[in-house]
Amino acid sequence: MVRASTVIIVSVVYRRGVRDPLAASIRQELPELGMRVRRVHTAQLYRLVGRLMDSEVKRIVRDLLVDPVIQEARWGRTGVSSPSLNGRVRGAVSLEVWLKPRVTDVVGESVLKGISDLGILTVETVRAGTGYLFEGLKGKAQVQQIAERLLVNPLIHDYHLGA
Amino acid sequence: MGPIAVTGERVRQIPLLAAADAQLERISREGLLSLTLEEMRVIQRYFQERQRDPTDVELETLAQTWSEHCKHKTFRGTIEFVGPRGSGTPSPRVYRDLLKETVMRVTEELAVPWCLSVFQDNAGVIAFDEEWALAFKVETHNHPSALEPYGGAGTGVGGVIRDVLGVGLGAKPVLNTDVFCFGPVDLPGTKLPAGVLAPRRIMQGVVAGVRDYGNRMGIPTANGAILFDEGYVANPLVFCGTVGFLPRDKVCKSVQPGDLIVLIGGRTGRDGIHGATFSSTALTAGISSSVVQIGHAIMEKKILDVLLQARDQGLYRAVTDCGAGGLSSAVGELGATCGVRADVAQVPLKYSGLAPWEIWLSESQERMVLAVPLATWPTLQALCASEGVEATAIGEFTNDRALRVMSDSEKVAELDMEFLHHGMPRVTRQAIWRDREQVVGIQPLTPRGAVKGGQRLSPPGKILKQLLAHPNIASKEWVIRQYDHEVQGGSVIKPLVGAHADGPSDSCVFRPRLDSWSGVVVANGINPWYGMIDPYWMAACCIDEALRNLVAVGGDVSSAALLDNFCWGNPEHPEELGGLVRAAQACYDVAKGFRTPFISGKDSLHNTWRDAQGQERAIPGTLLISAIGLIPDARQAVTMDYKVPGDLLYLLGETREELGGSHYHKVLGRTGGRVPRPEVVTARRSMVALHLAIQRGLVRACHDLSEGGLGVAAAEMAFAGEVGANLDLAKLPFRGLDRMDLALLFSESPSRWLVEVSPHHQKAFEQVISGLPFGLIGKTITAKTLVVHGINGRVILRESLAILKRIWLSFSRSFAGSRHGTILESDRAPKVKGKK
Repeated sequence: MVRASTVIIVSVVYRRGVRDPLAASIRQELPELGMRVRRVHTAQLYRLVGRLMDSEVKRIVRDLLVDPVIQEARWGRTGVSSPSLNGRVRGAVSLEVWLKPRVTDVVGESVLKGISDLGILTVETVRAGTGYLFEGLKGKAQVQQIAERLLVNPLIHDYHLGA
Repeated sequence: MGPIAVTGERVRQIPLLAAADAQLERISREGLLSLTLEEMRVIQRYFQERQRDPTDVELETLAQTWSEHCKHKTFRGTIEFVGPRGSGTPSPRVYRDLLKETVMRVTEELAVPWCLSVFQDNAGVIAFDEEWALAFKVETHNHPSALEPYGGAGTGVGGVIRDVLGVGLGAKPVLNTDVFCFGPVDLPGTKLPAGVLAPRRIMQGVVAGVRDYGNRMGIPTANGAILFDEGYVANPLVFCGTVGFLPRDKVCKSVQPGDLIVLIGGRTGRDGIHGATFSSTALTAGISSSVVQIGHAIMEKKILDVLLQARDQGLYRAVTDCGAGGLSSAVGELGATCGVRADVAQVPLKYSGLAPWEIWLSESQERMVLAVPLATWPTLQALCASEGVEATAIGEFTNDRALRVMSDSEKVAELDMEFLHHGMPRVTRQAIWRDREQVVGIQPLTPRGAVKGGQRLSPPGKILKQLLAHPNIASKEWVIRQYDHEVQGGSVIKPLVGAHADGPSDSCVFRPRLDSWSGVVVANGINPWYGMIDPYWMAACCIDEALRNLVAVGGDVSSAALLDNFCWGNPEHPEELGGLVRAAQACYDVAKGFRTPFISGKDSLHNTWRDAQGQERAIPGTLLISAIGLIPDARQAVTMDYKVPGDLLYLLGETREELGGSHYHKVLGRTGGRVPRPEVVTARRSMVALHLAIQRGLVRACHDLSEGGLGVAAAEMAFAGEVGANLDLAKLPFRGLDRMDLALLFSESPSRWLVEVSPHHQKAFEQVISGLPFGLIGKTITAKTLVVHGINGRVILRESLAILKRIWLSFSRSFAGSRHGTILESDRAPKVKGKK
């Protein structure tokens, strides 16, 4: 059965116990901003728009987006289930950073090509982003500051904070 | 020429015919055209003669073709200069074409037969051997890197690689070289203007962008430099260079009327529109994201693969890259002498909704334009399809010397090629130079007082450590290790050398043909601090530095060719332009003296920014000289690390009281003084002799003396080789100074090398360098220590190599583990508090 076009968000994270190099380096840079954080987690985010059955999404995630030795993924259709990171830890603040719609997204383009190479031709666009989850910071204002000073270039990025 | 019918809403006509001056200026300003009033008037007259208004496509095409970026208005315009030439007395002089009368004139007068293509194609081309040639080009990508460091630097690399792919009938990129100038990474936040990225972030982004593009394309990045100065805070400089390798019979291109205009590679979107005109203005806030380009290295790699196959099968007659100005520039230049009829509706788009002018001007990356004969088009199409590269015929070359752009059946632009390329009014600018060494407020350094005082306050060992810790001198290992410098298998001398492969090499040596021992040497020279005092001697020193680096590893100065890259502030300020003129004069005087031709170059002007107080600031006038040369047998190349204890250490070249702009002054907080001045005749003779000595196998190690002088060079050679040295300053050949220890140790007099020679070769080596200023100044020793005796025979410096090295590595180590970097176990070593 072919459904109508929907938005699917895939979030790829490191398995527990595997070193997350991006998170480690952010932790190292935070003291320069005068902040300390208990933990940082990061995720690779993909936003797929297209007509996809669940089985096809699972195949895309398994065959294309995840290295099963060190990573795991969760995904959802927007409005159906929450794909964001903050399911993992209570009281943490999440940050999602995406390229603005008109900015060339090479990773997204490559994933789209990969999906069509898998024989799935019903995806229209793919955009790639990065998710961050901060534990032990003092609220959203600090995350906003981290975003602006370290992780986001407002010229090319859109971002939003989560609870 | 008939009037242009406007049938759709996609093309606008710009009401120019009846516009008054104020309206003309507004049209230029609001359309981001960067056209002056005089230029707008010339355009208005052109269309008045044709009794119609221009379309947006026409006006945009003219604006980008006439931009500073594409036409070098300043360098090719008239300059009325007042100032001295070299160290002579001030006199007025009018330049009709600064580039032709200085940089290009060297090449013209030298007329060496091995220069195969100079100043006419996308890169300069010199002969490598009987069959092969080398192409070399260095570009800048400063403004894009300031706004989006990763994308800006990546596309800078991508762009210069395409220059090399688009030289002649296409060259294979075999080496990348990258030089960056940033603000200090520890700049306090209060000194950062609003909306400007912190220097540390810019640096990390730029390095990652260069790394990802070069590494993904499989091109080694094996040469470069990184400099830090407050003058670059909001306007970093990112120089990207590429060496290409091509058969000598593929150096020339030609376009025949009737050939198809074929666009290959990536699709076209709104990326980087107005890049050429944008790069010709000052950086201000409120910039649209459309000026940002993002690179796609894998796409460019596929283009490379297709292009070299198509070249060897003879499937096209000409090729050029789509860079600044997009199709407008690429197609316009290929068809400049014949004519063009192109249809923008044929161009494959990333998304719909682009107006014709946007398609025509877009700077979407990873695209090349070919001139393809009808007969070979089907074969080329099949080849591109087999490699997964999109290829589209978007028009044809004609013979009516007109540029015609269509959008389906609608004519959206029609311009005479003559007007497009030669109709631009010449600019006349004023330039003035006043000698800054004598300007009141800067205290010239007297040999006695200042140096003596310095000696009392700071012992030589402490100054040496401060120099080694200075970011401009300290190791850049953290950056270098991110670049693949081995891929393609031709590397001989790598950027890091020595016992533990972590000492700083003077130049890189590589073999583009793996079936031959002939090597290529690539080196660079850059020093904006000399230029703050006198750009003439800065340019002279940059040429000297590039060449002495090239010779230090074994390169042959008589085979060397140069590139110039000027990055300067606002050329409409007479004093700024005066400095630029002086630097260009030096390029002629000094390169002519060395007999090294310039083969290509580029200028980037309008590098100005507003600081935290809202004050307009210009970058320090910066000249990068890149040198490329040959080494007949790459097995003879030498590295800079001391090899064994018991060897003789020679200093070749004369030491003078030349501390102006030196790093010795920098760490002591001093300004002013006399800038180093190369003496070209002796310098060239030294280079010829040194090359001969290295070719005869008489040299074990050789290092050029640059920032930090003898002290830094001796320390680097020692800790890179883990071999100590004992030096005696009394043995130094010197002139015009009171032989004070600190001046001898840290003067930056050019044209000097520290050379390690086995005692067996003493006679032979001294014979080769006889008649030149040299001194046998010491020996390598078993103890892992650097020992320096002062002129009175007392030991003035004794430092352990391990400590010196740790201090030299500390700056780089402070980055290890940060974002885009990698953490190595060795990086976890405790930090040294050696910095001042």
